[in-house]
Amino acid sequence: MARILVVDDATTVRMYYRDVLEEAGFAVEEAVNGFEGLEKAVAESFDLILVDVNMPKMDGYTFLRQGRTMPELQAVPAVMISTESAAQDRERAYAAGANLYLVKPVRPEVLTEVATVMAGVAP
Amino acid sequence: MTAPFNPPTPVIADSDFVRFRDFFYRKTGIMFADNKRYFVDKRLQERMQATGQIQFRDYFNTIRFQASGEEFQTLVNLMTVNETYFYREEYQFRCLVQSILPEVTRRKRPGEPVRIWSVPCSTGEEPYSIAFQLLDTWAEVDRYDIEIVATDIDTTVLEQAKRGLYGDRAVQHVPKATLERYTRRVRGAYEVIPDIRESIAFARVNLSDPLSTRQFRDFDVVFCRNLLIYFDDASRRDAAQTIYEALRPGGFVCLGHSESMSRISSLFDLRKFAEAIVYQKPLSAEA
Amino acid sequence: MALVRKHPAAPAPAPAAGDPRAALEGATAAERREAAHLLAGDPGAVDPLADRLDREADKSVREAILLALGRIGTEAAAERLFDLLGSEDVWLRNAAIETLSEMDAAVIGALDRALSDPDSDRRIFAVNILVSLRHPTAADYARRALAEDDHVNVVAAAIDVLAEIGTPDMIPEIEAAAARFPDAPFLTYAARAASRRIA
Repeated sequence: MARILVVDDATTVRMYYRDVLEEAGFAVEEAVNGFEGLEKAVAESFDLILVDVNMPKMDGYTFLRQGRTMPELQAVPAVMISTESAAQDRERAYAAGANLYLVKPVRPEVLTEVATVMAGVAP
Repeated sequence: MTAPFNPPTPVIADSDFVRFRDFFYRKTGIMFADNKRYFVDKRLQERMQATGQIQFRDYFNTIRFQASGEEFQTLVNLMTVNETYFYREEYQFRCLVQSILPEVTRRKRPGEPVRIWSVPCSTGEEPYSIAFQLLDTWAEVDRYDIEIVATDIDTTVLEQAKRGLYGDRAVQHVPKATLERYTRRVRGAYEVIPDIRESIAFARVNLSDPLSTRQFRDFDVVFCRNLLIYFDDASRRDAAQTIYEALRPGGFVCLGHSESMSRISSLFDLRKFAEAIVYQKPLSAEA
Repeated sequence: MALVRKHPAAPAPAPAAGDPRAALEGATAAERREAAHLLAGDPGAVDPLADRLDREADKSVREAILLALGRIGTEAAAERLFDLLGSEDVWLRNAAIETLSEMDAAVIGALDRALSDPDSDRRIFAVNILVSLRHPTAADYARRALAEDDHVNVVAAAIDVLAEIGTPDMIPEIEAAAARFPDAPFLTYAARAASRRIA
């Protein structure tokens, strides 16, 4: 079963991703900020990461930048999902190591499709 | 004659449990699975009765808004098993010897001491465990001067720590040979030998006051286990700042097994070793 | 034996002589952190602290200044922290949000303005402050965003706050807010999840 790590400080957002993705057959793990995301990612392996931008203690860019230097996270596909839709936010996300940038709120069918394509494993 | 007032057991609804669980997770990093429901409910009910609250909502407001944060602390205490004994979370001491100290000493000049801070040291089990483990298992132990500083905010426990006298239960995880080497029997109890007791510097410190800790500097490793989880957000950040300032660049912090730096501070980096996950002041940091 | 005792109180560094305001501009990070600690009790130091924060590059000094501003805890300190919500520096704006959420009543005055900011991201940050705020009107500010804001992500943030601090009487408002965005299935989901939780 493909495993997805969801990193977002908003409880309802994490619940939403979890419900949609579990319904589609994925296994989901949660973290409330980038630092906890790194802690989870060194403890177990994931096929895809969904990460928010603004979070306490460690933001999404820092999470991606640090993650890309760690063996456990170097090659895991990552989708940055943000409320910020300006062009420079998109560029920053890719510079930090994101493979795809989406603007919130994400429709459930988009989430499922992105996860299916990007996790690289059947759900 | 009236029957003694016997408050009914408060009801924790499914939605209450979920709301509490998410709040507790956000604050502490501890996540209760559904199969912990009974464990959590019992403790919530116990505290609601103790504080005279019947509605979960009122109790939830108390733990969220109480200015002193006292009730939240009490609850955390109940939800985590907090016991002090020798060799508690022994994997971290193994990590100290096998991974942390080899890295720390690679950067040392000859003659430079290795400095370790145990805070809070409580009644002394932790700093003595560190001493025992270093003497027993660190091959390089005789090549360095090792300074262990042990502090607590509570002077009563500090006096006990200095005294170094323990019952069977406290030392049950210490290997027999180690116990024989580093303690002697005193009326059925175990007393840490004077050589070791006198080698540890005990002092009183309030970790949340950065100005009171300014003489604590140049540490290589800080053990700060099972303390910050009880603090509110602002005090956690203060304490983390103090620890940061007390460490040398590249120095390490070990937290308790149920604590995560992700709820405490953004100043440290994550380091994964074979034995444990620990935290590090960036090597590039200015002292 | 390799263990040696060294009393921790032996050589304490001399306290910074003179004005901590001057030391805020000192050459070493340790000096500037110490200055920030010393100024944490001085309500008149808000501007020098906040001005230094704008120029400060060392993360530990920035954290010390943020903690000092939080500890000063006045409305003036909150105002300067609110200004940082628009910062391009993502660490700084998130650390400012955390600090504000620890300042309780002092942020109430500035919240009104922050919730009417033309920038939707700043409004989201202002709403995010509410979840940890120890203040009886925190939920009312979230309700205001719920009722008035026309940006979907601000309303989503308000629902997320009320999922933790809301009361059952707010459920109709939460549902009404989600109904204003029929094309956002996430809001419908969040409203249902929040309502279930606070029912």
